[in-house]
Amino acid sequence: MTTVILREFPEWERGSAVEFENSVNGDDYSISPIFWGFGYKLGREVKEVLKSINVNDDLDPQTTELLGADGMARYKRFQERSPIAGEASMSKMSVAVMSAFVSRLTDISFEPSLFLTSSGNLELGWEDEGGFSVSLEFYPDKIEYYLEKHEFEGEVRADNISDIQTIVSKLG
Amino acid sequence: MSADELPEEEVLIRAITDRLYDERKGRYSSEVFGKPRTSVSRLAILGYDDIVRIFCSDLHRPPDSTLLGYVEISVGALKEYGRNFESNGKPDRRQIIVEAKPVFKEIGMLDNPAHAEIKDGLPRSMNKEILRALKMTSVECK
Repeated sequence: MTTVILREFPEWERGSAVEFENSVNGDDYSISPIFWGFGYKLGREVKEVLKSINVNDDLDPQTTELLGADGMARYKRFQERSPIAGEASMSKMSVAVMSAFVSRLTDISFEPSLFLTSSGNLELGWEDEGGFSVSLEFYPDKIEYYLEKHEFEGEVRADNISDIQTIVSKLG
Repeated sequence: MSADELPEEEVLIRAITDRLYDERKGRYSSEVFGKPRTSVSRLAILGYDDIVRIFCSDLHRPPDSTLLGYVEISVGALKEYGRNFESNGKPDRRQIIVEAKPVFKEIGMLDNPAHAEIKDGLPRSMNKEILRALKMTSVECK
C-alpha cells in the first residue's frame, strides 16, 4: 500500500495548494492532474481531513470495516469495472473523500450500502436506528448529503472540517 | 409545454442496474432519479419486452454492469411528487419535466424510439420517497 501525505504550499494565487509526498519511501510520487486540481482547491484545513490517501485504491482499515464483506465486494467490482456508455470510472478522489469522511466517524456499527454514480462518485446509504435514511455522495471536492431524520439535504465542501463535523454529529 | 414534453398519462420505466441497487440490503442509490437527464423509456411507444430487450443489450454487461430490473412510474405521479415537495421542512414546489429523447444510431447502443429523459435531477429526499412507493420488477437477460 502506498500512502501519501499532504503538505501545504505557501499561499498560491486563489488559495493554498498542497503537495503530495510519498511518505513510505520518500521517493517523488507521480501526481496525476486530477490530484493537482483537487489540491489546488483545498485549503489549509485539508491536512487535518485527508491525513492519508491510498492512491492505489486500497481502502483504509476503518472504511474497510464499515463497508463489511458485502460492501467491499461491491467496491472491488466498481474498482475493476469498465464503464459503459455515458458513465465514468470510479473516481479516486471520491474514494479519498469518502475515506476522509469515514475516518471522522466514531461509530461504524451500521451497515451502509455502497453505490457508484454515473459520474464515478461513491455513495453511501443506510438507515439510522430510527429507520431514517441517510445518503452521502462523495464528489472530488464536496459531499452531498441527505439526513431524513433532520429533514435536511445539502452539500459541504470536502475541505471544510467544521461542516463535515456537523454532518458527523447529526449521524449520532 | 414544449412539443417534446410528455403528458401526465404516460407511463415510464427506469432500468435498475447493480450500480444503483444493493440486492443484499435492498437499498437504492439516490441516483435512480437523482441526476439531470435521467433515462427512462415510454410504454406508450414500445412494450415491456422490447424495452427490456434494449435494456439488456445496452446495460447488461457482466461483470461490469448487471441489469437487475426496472421500476415503473407515470409522468403524472412524478409531477405530483414535485408539486407536493418540501425541502428542509418548507414547501418547495418543483416542476418536473419529462421529455421525449428517442435514441437512434448511437454507437454501442440499440435504437430506442421510446427513450425519454427526466430533465432535472430530483432531490435525494424525493428520490427516497418515490422509491419507497415503487416495487422493482426483476429481469433476467438471456
